[in-house]
Amino acid sequence: MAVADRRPSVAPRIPFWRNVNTIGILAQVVFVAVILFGVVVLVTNTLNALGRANLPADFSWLGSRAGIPIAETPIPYTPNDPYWRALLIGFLNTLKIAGIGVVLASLIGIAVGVMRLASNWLVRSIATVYIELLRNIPLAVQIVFWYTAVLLPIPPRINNPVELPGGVYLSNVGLAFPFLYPTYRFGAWIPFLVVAVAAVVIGVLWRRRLARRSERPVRVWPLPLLAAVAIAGGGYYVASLDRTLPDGLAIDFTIDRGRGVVYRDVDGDGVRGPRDPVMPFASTIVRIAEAELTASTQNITESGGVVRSTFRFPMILGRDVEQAVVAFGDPDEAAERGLEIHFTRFPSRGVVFVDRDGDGAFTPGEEIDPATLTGFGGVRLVMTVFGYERHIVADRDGQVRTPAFSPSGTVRSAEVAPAENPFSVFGAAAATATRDDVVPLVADVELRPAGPLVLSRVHVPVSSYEGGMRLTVNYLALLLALVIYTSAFIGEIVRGGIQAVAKGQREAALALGLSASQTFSLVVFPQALRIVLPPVISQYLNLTKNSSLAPLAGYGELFVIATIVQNQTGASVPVALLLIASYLFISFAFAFVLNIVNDRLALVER
Amino acid sequence: MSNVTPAPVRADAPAGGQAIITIEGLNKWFGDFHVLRDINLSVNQGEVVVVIGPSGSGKSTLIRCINHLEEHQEGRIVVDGTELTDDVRNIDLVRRETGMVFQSFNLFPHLTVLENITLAPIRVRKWKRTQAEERARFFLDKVGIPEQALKYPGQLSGGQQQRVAIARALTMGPKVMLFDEPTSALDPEVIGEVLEVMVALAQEGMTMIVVTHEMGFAREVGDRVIFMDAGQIVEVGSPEHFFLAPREARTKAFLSKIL
Repeated sequence: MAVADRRPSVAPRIPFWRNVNTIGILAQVVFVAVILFGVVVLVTNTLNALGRANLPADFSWLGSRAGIPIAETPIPYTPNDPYWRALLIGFLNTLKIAGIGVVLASLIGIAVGVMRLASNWLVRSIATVYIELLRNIPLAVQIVFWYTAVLLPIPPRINNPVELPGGVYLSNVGLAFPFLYPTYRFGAWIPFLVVAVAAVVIGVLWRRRLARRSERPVRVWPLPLLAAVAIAGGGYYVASLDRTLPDGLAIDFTIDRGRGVVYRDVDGDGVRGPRDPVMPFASTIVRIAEAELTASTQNITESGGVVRSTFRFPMILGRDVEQAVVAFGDPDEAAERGLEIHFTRFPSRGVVFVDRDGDGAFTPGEEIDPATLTGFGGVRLVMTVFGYERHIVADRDGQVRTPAFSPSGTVRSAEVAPAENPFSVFGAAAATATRDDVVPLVADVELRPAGPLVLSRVHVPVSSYEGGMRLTVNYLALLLALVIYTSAFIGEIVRGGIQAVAKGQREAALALGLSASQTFSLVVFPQALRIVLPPVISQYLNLTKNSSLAPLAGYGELFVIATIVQNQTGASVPVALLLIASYLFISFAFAFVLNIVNDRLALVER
Repeated sequence: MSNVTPAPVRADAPAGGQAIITIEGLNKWFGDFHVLRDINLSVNQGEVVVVIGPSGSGKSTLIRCINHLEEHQEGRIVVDGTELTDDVRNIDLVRRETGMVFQSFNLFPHLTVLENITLAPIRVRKWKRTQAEERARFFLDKVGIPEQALKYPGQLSGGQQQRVAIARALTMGPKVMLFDEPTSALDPEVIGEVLEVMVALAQEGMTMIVVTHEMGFAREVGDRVIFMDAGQIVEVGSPEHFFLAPREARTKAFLSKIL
């Protein structure tokens, strides 16, 4: 009341240019006008300049054929696809590196941050060195290091990949591992998944209400999650009950080429026509009673001026065949030269050697001809395979690939048995049969009914991976660099967060008898998490934005593809706008989700 | 410094009782600083020992040694028959049997009052949740704030928080309670509510070592008062002794400031 009384007597006498309210409004009007003017000038100038240079200023080019080959495509793509699809691939590739990078960087970052506070001197020092080293080397340098100094030269070539436990393969082409893919039956499972998600949402809301009303604390999550898993699991079973193949599902397989395509015979003519769509991720079995593979010894490993004679058949594992016999293509010549076979991996890899020291076994050095210091190159070998059976999940394009077989018996097989066969799983592996007649090659290719998901395993039939999930070295290099670089920063943030938790919290927990690890995981870390989250969110955003350094590793993410698109179309401004919009979108999405988490975690104060 | 300090005073528990804490020849250094010098102290079951002294005299460090929040360098500390050595099992054993109440409450801000109290019983004593909650509610009732069980510490007043901290320590069923200046961080008008709880606890026969300046509390339930200065026990006696006839000059000087 007192304010209202005083005001009217003073207000009318202020001239408008001294009135705080008027000044405020005027200043904003002027400011907006200046900005608008700037924008208008900028836009018209740009449009004029683009028009004069005859460059596109709109987005109409998005629909034209891109013609850009992209190595890593999360969704089907060919160079014939339009520009928008190429850019979409880039966007998805950015998400692929940012999403996985953020998870890995967090895990490593937390570990390193905790290690920095360890009482063990060695652990602490390792963490300190890790952080100080990696924080202070520019990210671009690290990407180039991982790409050109580690991942390109160090892993073995693709024709000799390392098999890690669990069917994971690593080579200079990249990493491949088994992966679950959705089949044609996946659609039948979707309703159950929707119900399962709904069950979680409704269940959690219901349990929350219960928790608020109940005098006793109620566990909110376990029951809804259990219900969702039960619904999804039951749904999977129900969706798997129908063991019939979809109408018209067929495979067009040429055994001599070792490859085929699963397709859907829409027109029902029994032949794969151009209108018949391919069917991805179908489950197939290829069986061959008896067939042959041929290979020549190659001098592929060279060190110290010495060339060794190794041979390699397309990767066939012991479990694929009932019996396999490897023999010389021309046994007479081999016997004359004294050649023998030593397996490094039965039956697909090994060396050809001459038993010079006469111990009946391969000794390193014997695979080289001392006269020429080169191996016994060009010797033809034949692998006869009995009872070949491989379960192959068609890839995204419906492709099914096996090694290329040839009709067996075309070559007289020899009496030369492997001198030593440490990998023999079939008992005596000596080949003694001599045949001249050719057995025509017959392949039994069968399509199998599948559940909603199918496990696609990795094969290495030729010099490339087939099946499974495949990550290129470019992706791995960029991922490694981003994860390691960001984890160093997250580690420091985590350390700070842990140290910022009051000392008394730790003491109170210890005084109650909690062990050191319980004290950390139940008392200190949950509180540190709340302190740490906002700066960590900004590190997540940094990682996402830093993924635009991908050209250094040759990974085809958004920035790389956008640059190519811009070069081809000349649409510099529209492409730049698309880029800006895409990165902003990702950043905002991250910030949105994590800010919600942050609010939910906030400590309750008065 | 050591050349001016007289020989240490022994603070042995009265004969006839059963000693639950025995400290012999305890010495502790923080770097070069000698915080505790030749402490000899024993406490009988059911005894309430009040430790007073100027700040920096080592009284907090002394009781923090008893549950090994501070490591001692010389001497023996035996709590309920378990000697505190470098053995983690012994340390855990002792901590389980001693409850501690801190000056700054140290409630876990991310957990509700009930979760604060049941955390250790469930994780350390392996009680069932329902059993732990029942005990927690019993002690919350006892400290007079049963209605605050589902609130967070940040929503409580200082006095309420300290009472939760006491309930948290008691729910573990300790044999000894250590109080480290439990009322020093409280507003004057809520000190009373915390002291009431402590008095009740003492009257029920809990063994307590209390570092405090609340001489009223000492007089009401204290069996012995220990005056510490410069890391030494300077004088030991009944509360009446300290009020009526303190012997040492340093004790007199200190008491004249706080009384």
